[in-house]
Amino acid sequence: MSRRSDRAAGRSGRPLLLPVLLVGAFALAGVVAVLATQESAEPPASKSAAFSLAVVSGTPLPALPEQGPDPALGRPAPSLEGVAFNGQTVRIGADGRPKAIVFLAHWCPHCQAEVPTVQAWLDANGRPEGVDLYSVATAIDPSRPNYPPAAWLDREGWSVPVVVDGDGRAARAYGLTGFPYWVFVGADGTVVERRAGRIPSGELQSILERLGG
Amino acid sequence: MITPRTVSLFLSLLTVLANAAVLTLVGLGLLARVSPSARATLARLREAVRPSAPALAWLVAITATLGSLYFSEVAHFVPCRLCWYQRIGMYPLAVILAVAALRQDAGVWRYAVPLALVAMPISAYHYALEWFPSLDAGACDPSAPCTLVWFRELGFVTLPFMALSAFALIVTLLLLGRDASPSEIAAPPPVSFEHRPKETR
Repeated sequence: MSRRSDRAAGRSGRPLLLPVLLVGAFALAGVVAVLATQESAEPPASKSAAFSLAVVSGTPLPALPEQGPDPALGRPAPSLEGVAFNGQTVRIGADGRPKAIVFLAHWCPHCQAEVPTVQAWLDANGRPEGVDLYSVATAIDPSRPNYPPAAWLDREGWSVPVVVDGDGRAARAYGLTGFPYWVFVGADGTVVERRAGRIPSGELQSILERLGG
Repeated sequence: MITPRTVSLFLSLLTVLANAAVLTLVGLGLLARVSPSARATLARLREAVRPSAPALAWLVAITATLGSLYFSEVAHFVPCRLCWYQRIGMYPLAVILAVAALRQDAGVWRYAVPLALVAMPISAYHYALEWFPSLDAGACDPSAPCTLVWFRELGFVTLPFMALSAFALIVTLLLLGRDASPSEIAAPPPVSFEHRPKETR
């Protein structure tokens, strides 16, 4: 008890400088924050195009396991039909051509890095021979950064056709477990390879060559 | 209107002030090793801060805790795995330091500082991950990825940076205000039964 009262006594008569400084710091930060963000209220985003639903047909693929063999290999990939951000219909289905489909999340830094890398590779090498490239914009969430995905992909000059997956059903049907998510489909419409995470350009090129060859 | 952007900027400005306080105090501490006048200034500062150190540290912890709860419960920023580890460090501090402030217990640093020191490397790693996402698995978890940067205010202040700054200020304040007479640390405290609850008979 004595220690406590000693300390309490030591406190008495102390100047009010510290509380004043603290209140001042909080008040200053508050005023600056309110003033600085007053005019930056974002206009409500148009939800129609950003959340279009894809039509999925076929049997969903199992989730990609973290390790071990992929149970989806050799199984028919579900077909997807949806609209791009510009309203154009895009169909990803069994048409006798091999395909590479990349699922992208606008808020994922790995996707944000993957898109310009792939686009730069496409710009340098042109479209891969005999393989169709598609992308699916999924996990769309206005509260997350880099929204809307349409503006992001536009900014990056993304030339790959996009299917908007407004509620994530396409991603679920393909067994997505991480972003970016690549699915390679053979000419017979079956899954050849699935990968969660970025693929270096050189490796992507060899996969596409194998797929197209 | 108060938006998550307003709150994030408000807390970011406080974070910058916290950084300034930590850098000033650490700089003064280093200078005190070589300069007698800096040593005298530090001694005066310690005397002034000592009685309020637990209360000041509590103010930092409760601000960080309420900020964290605002972002998850009101702004709906989903906390990731590393966020939860940092919460495990910060939330108990808001309680421990409140009790210490009420009891004016400067000895609380012995319990609070280790808690903050354990959490600080987690915040630092999380912050590094935000700048270099490939430090992690190379893919974003679909639900609550640690790589997701909810906001980056002033070009560098993010959620784990705020946590790191808060932990650093708490450690600095508690060490500055610790009851640090060497004899008291070296020797066991005098045994007093004054507050000890009576044992069951």
